[in-house]
Amino acid sequence: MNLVIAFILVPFAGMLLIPFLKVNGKGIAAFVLLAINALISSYFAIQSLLGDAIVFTLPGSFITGDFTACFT
Amino acid sequence: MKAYRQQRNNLTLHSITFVVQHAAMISVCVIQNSFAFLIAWEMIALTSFLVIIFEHEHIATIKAGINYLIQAHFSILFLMIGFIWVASKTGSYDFEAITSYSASIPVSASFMLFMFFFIGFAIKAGFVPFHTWLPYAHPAAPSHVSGIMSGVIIKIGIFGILRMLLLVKTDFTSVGYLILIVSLISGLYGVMLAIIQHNLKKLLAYHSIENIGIIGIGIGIGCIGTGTGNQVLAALGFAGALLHTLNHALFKSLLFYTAGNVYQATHTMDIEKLGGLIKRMPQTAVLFLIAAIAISGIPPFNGFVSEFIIYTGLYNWLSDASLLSLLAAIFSTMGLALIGGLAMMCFTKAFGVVFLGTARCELPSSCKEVPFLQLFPMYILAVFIVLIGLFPVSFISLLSQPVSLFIGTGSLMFNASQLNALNAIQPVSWASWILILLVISIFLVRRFVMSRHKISTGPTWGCGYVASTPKIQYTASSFVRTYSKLFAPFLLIGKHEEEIHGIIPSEGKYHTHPYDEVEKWLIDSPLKLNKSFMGRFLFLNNGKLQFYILYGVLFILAVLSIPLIYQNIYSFIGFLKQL
Repeated sequence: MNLVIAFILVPFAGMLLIPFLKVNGKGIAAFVLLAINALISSYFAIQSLLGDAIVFTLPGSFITGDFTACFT
Repeated sequence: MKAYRQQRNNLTLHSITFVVQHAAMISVCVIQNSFAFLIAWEMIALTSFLVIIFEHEHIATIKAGINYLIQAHFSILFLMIGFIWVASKTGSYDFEAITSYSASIPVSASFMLFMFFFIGFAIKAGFVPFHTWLPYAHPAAPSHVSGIMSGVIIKIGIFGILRMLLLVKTDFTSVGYLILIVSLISGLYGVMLAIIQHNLKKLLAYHSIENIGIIGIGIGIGCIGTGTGNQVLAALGFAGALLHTLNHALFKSLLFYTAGNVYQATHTMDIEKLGGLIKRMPQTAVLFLIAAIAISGIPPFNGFVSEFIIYTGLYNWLSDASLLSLLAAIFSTMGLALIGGLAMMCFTKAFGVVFLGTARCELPSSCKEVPFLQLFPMYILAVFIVLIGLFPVSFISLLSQPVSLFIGTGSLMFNASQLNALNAIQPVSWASWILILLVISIFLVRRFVMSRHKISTGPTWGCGYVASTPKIQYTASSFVRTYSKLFAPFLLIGKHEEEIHGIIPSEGKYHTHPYDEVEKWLIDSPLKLNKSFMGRFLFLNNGKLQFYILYGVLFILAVLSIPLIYQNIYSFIGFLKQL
């Protein structure tokens, strides 16, 4: 679950961080953030390909119901 | 041309949206709730629009971006109808509700439900006739974005179709035939238009449509296999489609990245102006060649493996006894073969004109190979292209898990594969190894033999003609002239010719502009009609403030009176029913 929260927070970190960096820094920051998210999602995807289905649920509202996400 | 890193004002927004786009794309693939899915889908549309318009100083870029944004929202509209339909009947936004609801309604209704989802995802995937955003968005976007768009974003459309095939319970045979027909048209139309393009990125964009067609053929025969209970056909169809999805992401990204190298070095994408780049950019040329061979479906690279699996499925289908299946299998096989042949022709033209011969126009003095750091990711893609070609069985076995979702059992994939695909794929792998070793051996022998000879270079012998210019070379248009004549009824090529007069004629000009026939009929003509219709109301736009206030008042009155009118009509109908 911590990894899922990290995945959601990465774009927000980018929004806060990138505007204050210089040209080279912007590119490096974008690359690092993309790499972090790619690694997190790859971990789940490889687990799934090897046969371990991963399901996690985030709380939603009374209209939408809970948000289920799943690697199957 | 300004280098991307020099456009400082655009870089911040671009970097942020690129990261958000990536997160949204991954989210779409795992979310199981239609409400959240639509939010992530919208995020992809908006962030893609922002990354496409990176160079928003150019009017063509803005137009391409807006075109994409509008079509992406048509996609959302269709998906929304499908999701709201299910949610209004079941009260749940969960994906499981789609399965339970579609199982409880008649097949015709579930087919209609699937069609809403299919059109929504087909717009994103670029199936004909929903492809018209692709040839504009890909060339307008920076090359790294084009690579992501062609390699990943359009695959999200394919993912969506596959996801809905798992969720919606409907008549898979009808769905399969529908997807097969649309895919064959997409594949053929995409490659037919790709051949006549002058812009390298536009050429690659049309090839994306062609490859989506090939993936669709795999999905189509997979669905027919599922619908008719032919599990070998289902396994081969879905396996071929999934592997080609991965393969296309690899070689098309590589093609767009190498096209980006060419643009960076030459500042143009017009292939009629290029030529001889292999001398200045040898590594880019080799990488482009690897990707071009792969996309043409030639061994020993990955494109061949996935197309081979689809062909195996089609041959398996040919043994089916029914006449309709037999005809469909024959036409599909012929169509796939024609697509492959035309793709090979197109890339022979593209590689030959861009990298071989000599430059047709003066190239910038800065035209040279890009730095290794920029080439490094392309080498990684090339390595995967080669690896899948050399070890196809390992990659196919990875597909057993996803394919089993479509055919219902985990072990069936291997039964089917043992029967047909895997037995044939293994010798293909060995043949690929032998081919590569043979090429390396010939190269080494040649190098050894030539090392003993002194090689001198000089101008090409012109048969005594001394006024030769690089423009005498074969152009891209002349290379495909016979093809253009042969397929003229299906192609729309605008020609502008200035006739040559006089004994000593002045300079003559001849331009050709390829147009998209589907775009003309589906978008340009309705827009023209709409413009002409709306033109009749131009008098309303008279610039007088009083009139605008009046329009506002009339609008408010209309909004207030419509419910009253509706209520009265409803009461009147109730009264008539009572009578």
